[in-house]
Amino acid sequence: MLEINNVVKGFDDKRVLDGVNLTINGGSIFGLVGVNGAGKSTLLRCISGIYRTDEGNVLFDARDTFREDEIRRDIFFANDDPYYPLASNIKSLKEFYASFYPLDEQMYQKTLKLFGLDENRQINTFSKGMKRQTLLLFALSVKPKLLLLDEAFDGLDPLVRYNLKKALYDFIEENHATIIISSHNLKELEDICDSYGILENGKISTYGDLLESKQNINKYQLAFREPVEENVFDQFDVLHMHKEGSVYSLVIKGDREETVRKLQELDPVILDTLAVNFEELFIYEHEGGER
Amino acid sequence: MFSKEYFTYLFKSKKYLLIFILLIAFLNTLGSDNDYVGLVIQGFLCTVMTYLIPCNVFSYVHDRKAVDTFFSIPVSRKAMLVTGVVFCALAAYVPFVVTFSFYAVAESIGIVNYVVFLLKILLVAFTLVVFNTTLYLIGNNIFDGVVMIGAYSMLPVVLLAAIEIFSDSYIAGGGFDTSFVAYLSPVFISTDLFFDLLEASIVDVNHVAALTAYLVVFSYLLYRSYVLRAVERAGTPSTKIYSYPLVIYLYVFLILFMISSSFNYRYVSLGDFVSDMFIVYLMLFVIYVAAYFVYKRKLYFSYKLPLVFVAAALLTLGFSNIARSSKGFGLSQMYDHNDKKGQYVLYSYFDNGIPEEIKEEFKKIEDVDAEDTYLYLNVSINENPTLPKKEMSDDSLALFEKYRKSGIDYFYKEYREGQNSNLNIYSSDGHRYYYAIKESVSYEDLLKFAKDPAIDVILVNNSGEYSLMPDGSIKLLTLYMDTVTYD
Repeated sequence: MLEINNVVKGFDDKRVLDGVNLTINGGSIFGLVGVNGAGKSTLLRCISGIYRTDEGNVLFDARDTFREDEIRRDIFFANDDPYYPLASNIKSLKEFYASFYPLDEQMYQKTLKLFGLDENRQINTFSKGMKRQTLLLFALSVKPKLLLLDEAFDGLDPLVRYNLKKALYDFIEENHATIIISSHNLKELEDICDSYGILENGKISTYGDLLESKQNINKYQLAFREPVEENVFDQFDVLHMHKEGSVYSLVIKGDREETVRKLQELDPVILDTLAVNFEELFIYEHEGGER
Repeated sequence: MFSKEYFTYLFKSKKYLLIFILLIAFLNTLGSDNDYVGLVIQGFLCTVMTYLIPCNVFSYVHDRKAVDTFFSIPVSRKAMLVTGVVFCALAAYVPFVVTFSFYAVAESIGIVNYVVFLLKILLVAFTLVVFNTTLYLIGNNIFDGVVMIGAYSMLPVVLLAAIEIFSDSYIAGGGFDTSFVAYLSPVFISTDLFFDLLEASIVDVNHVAALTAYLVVFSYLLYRSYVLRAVERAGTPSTKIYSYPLVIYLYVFLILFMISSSFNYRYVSLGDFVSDMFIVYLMLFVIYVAAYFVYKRKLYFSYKLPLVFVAAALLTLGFSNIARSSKGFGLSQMYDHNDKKGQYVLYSYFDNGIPEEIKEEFKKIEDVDAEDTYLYLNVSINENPTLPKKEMSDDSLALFEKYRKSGIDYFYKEYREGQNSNLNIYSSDGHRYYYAIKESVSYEDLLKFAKDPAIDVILVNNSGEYSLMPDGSIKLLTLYMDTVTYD
């Protein structure tokens, strides 16, 4: 289990993380989302023990990830712009990772084959996507209990993205590991994540089970015979509202059946309920947060 | 505290660097006819390596991407640091130890001396690596790290130059004690200690103590700089006060100090001096602004820049003016030369004519023309360092002191006329003093010097060298070859 306890991290005068609290259970794939500059990468670096937190701590399996070095053997951080030493190839990198992590040869060969990478070719001749695959190859081969993927799907073509998702499913099934993925591509996250957290203004503003949250936020379309006062919707937790004539489009947070029952009491001519996707969920939560 | 895994990785990943170091050591050994000279050259190469290897091994600290990789591996920062330092020290000095071991066997220096040598080389290796790594980590990126190593390593040299210029400009006789500067850099101390290394049995306690102090202090600074490092600074401009700001101000101040010290040489008014030196000041100001550009990585100009520069220039000029008017803060008078065993060399010329008494004595020596083109004398004691030290009489010491004081007066004169003598004193405690003196040494004083059996009074002209005897007679010592004719 990963526990992030009141983590504060600032750069110069700017507080990027301002008291982040979050608990993620083992065996889940957690999607970390937020606008650009929200501090997703900073949070991942605090979790992986690269950055020292200004306040608070991060515990994985009840051990401090910054102070206790051994726990980092169970954590792998795949950043968005990997570092490769000059003139290195996959074979030489394998030596590096095998020096510090328990590298699983079977997993290594399987993932190498899946990605179709050449072990002997110099990495500086690789494309951006191939470089990312190289890091992901090692991320999976060292079989961490906590895998942190920063912008994991960036620069990958559709086939590789599909292969990566498949590899991650297999990995979590076999190892009961925890994966945290930050990405701007919410559609990709929606396919793979079971839980999520939105990082906003240095804090986790919303987090929880993705399916439950999606069920809890719905889009409603209503039409009335006569114009109605807008304050009739005050009783709902409205995240977004759009009016065109007497037709209202509303995004309301709350139990779907309960909301429908209350809306019907307003006597609309038409009442349609639509599900939201993860991207809409993020946008409406973000708008709600700003409001 | 030490990671075997990381050491193994370093050894494997830096194999080309290690081969390069060994190759240089091997080529040096092959190319050197003299074992001793070969060792000295190799020692110099090892010192250079203590700069280069840490820059390579610790470069990841300055790389934003590499930081993610290296600081997330399951090795503690302490272990990463200790292992890195040990690797650098071994990589820099193992070739030297191997070469020295062959030398030690050939020269049969004995096991005790060999162990002493190993301990001394360990101290040098670790001190230099720790010192240079600390300087390298002052910066936040590779370029700044290299600049910091260069800037801080050269600082004692610039400081020494500034003190020497000030001393020569304002303190009659110079001789300001600059020996402390040698202790401002472990590289200087190591160089001194290095020559002791070759005499393995010698242990210079001062050098060993100073290096040990450097090792302790810089180990602590390196610990703070690396283990407590905010790694998110990697690849960003170096803004810590002891990086560019301190380096720029120290250098600008020292150079301004050197410029203002030259004020004394010129004997002009302060206004004329500033006017004459305006271009120099302007050039320094441009360099100062350029240094700020390197620091900020952008064109930067603030009213503080010229303000600080002008304030520093005025401060140094004011200091120089006080030094000039206070006759070097009275420092020249502070040195009391009651050193009877020091080396005193008083050269004197006779631009205003050779003393009649000496002319008469020369006439008594056949084939020697007293009116020869020049004549000078050398009154000296302990000039030859290979001979046992002699002690001069109180009278002689008083005579030397009289000429020294005359030199001090002459130094602080507003307008100097041509000098006729100069006095060099190398005191027993290793200081050198130099005085230009207006007058020649009088015949009476020459006779007094000649009466001191410890002192040689030598007269030199075109023909040869002569000794002035206590009774005033002249004795031929050496006749120059080109004046001798052979039948």
